[in-house]
Amino acid sequence: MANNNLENNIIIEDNKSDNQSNEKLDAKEKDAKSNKKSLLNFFTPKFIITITTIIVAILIIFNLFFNNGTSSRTVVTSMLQDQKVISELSTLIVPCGGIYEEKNDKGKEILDIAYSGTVEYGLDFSQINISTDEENKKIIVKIPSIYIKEVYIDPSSISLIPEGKYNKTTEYLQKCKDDLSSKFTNNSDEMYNLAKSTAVETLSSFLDPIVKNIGDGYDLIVE
Amino acid sequence: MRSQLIIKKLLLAFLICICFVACKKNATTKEFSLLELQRMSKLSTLKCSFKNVLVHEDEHQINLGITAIPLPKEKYFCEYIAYANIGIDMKKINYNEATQTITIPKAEIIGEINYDLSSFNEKFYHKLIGSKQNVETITSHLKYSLDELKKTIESNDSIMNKAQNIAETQIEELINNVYTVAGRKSNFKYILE
Repeated sequence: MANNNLENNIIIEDNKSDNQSNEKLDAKEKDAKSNKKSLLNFFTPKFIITITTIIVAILIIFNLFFNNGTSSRTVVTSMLQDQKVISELSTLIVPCGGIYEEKNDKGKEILDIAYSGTVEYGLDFSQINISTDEENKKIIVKIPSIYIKEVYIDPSSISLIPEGKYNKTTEYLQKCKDDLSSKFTNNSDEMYNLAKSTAVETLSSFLDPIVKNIGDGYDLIVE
Repeated sequence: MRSQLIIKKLLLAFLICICFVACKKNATTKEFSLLELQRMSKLSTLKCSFKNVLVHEDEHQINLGITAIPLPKEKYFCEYIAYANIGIDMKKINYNEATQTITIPKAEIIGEINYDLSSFNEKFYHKLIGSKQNVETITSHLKYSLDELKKTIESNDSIMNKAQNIAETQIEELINNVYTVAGRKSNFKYILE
């Protein structure tokens, strides 16, 4: 009887443990199933579509605003329009840069343009005057006035703050050209003197052997 | 549910950050140039004016990785007058006392090819939202057209020879004037290089 009770107890306990393990298994299965369900609930079709749409929209916007054109083509056609005979001796080219500043009525800066370019000095070669001082055996070469021949703004050097309007490019280039011209017109004695001294040296070195070839003891003076 | 929502938001934020990083481009350049005065002795004898027509097209497309969506072309037209001074370098004139010859050097472009701002006629077409065209890009196209014109002029023998011939005439006139005031006659021979 006692053995039967024990056996019964064991059976009951076995059944209990079986039940417990079954319950555990069921719980695990339930957990696994619930996890699957929660993942499926997480990555819903609506969520995936939303994510994809946002990514595509960002890519489109960035490509529109920040991506460079994938292909460019530039064609230049030049036609000779006019040829004019001139006689100008260039003696000095001054490379320079500057910043053009524009302010409003209240004195606040509204536009800044950085640029670089060159200013070219020269003289009218056809106006060189040649005379002689027979008494002193001198040939005198007088050079005409030096002037600014060309003011050139390098178009590729332009940079603006704030970013300028593309359809006002010529306006900006003109402002830079006027700015550079004013700097050299008003304050360029040093450059003028250097251009003049170069002209004197050029004509002296070129004409000196020519004058010596004349003979008769002539000397050259260039002024 | 609340935790799921938080995780979703974090995941979305992370993916957006990835997109920003993927689209970001880094490029830095540094330049230095020393500008020096250029003393010279160049005689310009011919001024040539050119009518330049510049056409620039940009073809954009949206890259989506495996494919691309083409967008309408952006166009820029510009018509303007450019001019070049052509002549010789007087330092390269060769005087031979023994043979009494003066050799005139080959002609070259003096200074930069300049442009007449008052002659500019510009047109823009199909400007897109977020277009890449700005002042800097347009001026770079202009610089390119000037550089191409310079190459064209330098390869044009007709123009260069004409400038050289005119230079010979002007140099000969100067020398003749020197001899004339001294009461002499010049017997130099002029040779074109």
